[in-house]
Amino acid sequence: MASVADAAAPETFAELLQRIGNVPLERIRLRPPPGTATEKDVIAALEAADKRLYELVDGVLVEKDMSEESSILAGILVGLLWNFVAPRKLGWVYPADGAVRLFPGLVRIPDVSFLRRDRVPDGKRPKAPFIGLVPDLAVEVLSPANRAGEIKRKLRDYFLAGIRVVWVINPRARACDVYTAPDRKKRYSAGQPIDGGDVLPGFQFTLKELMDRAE
Amino acid sequence: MATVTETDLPETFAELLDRIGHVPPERIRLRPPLGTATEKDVLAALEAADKRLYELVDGVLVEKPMGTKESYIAFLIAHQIQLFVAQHDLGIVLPGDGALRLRLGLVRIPDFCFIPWDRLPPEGELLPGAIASIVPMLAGEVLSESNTKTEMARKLKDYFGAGVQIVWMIDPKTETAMVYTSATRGRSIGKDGVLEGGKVLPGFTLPLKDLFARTRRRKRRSS
Repeated sequence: MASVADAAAPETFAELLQRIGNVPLERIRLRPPPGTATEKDVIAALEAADKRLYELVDGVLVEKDMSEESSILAGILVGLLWNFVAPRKLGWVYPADGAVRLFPGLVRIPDVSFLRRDRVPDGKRPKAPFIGLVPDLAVEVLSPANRAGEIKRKLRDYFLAGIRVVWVINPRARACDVYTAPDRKKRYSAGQPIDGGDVLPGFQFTLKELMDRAE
Repeated sequence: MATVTETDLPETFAELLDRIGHVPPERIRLRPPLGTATEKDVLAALEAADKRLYELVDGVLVEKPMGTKESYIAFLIAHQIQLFVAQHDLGIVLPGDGALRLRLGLVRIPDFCFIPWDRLPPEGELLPGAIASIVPMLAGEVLSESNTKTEMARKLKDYFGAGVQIVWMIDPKTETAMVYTSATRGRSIGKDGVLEGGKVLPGFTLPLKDLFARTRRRKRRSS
């Protein structure tokens, strides 16, 4: 097992950085050493007194970057989604500490995610340290420390795992990109309504609405 | 043992870089995992088919960059020192792939170094073990493109911390050198300057002009 992982492991730190998407160095945790981290470490950090959000990518713990701005916008969006989802019993909305196991050994923490009830076998919310199933929708609200390479890798992970729609909100650019595949996106400006598509039919919001509420 | 080195590891990669000097990421080896490398790994790399020079710093393997020209300059200096040392019977000179254990878990590979007799075993093998626990009196580094200032500062700290008395840093780009007598005290030697052995090798001199002249084609002497 260890030797299999070793063979696939990058040889140098430069290769690792390229693979995980040039994440700023202060967000790469060295304990446990890169390449040897497991889901247990993600859970331990989530449950620690100084709770920290780490994603697990290629055996490396990468701290999730949260800025005040991305946090408030994500929170407002969670509220809007819940208002829509709850009365209709459509499923569950998770804020930015809902860790998702996309594959064994690959754990991501979307800023917001939504899991449809009709995808869960008995309609009951799966209870586990991680969100029980790969969600249908994931949202990332960019903060200044996010790198383009990092988001690209994340999109690849999300769609490979079966997430159907990803909203990438860029507050600085006042725009939201709606991805339906890693390389297929449509850009919405702040005032243009974004709809829930097949995942949340009937749901609609604009980025301006989020930003106005944040004021 | 493993857990000790693991907790020694700083929390983030940024902190590790601060500690070992801002070495380019392509020179930091990840196999074995950071913080867990040992002297065995240094040796395995030295003995591999694609021989590689790694220094061991805080449980991390850091590749030693060595261009052809840097290697040649290091050889030329080592050769000059060797002539002097042999003539006066002072000790031994190591070339640029002699790994030295400066202390437990800290292996450095100076580009050249001089070890006097009194720092070597009084009898038998001069350099016992695959990595000798011997601290040179004089250590030299020929700078490569990818060497960074903070990396060299850490190296100076390691050398002087272990008991090295004088460190020469040769810069082939500017054809100048720095002579350090402590981690923080350095004197620059200009293009026309002379490397001197000081207290460590009294009487040894090597003009930088002569050294760098040998890296360029000269007219052949007609006989």
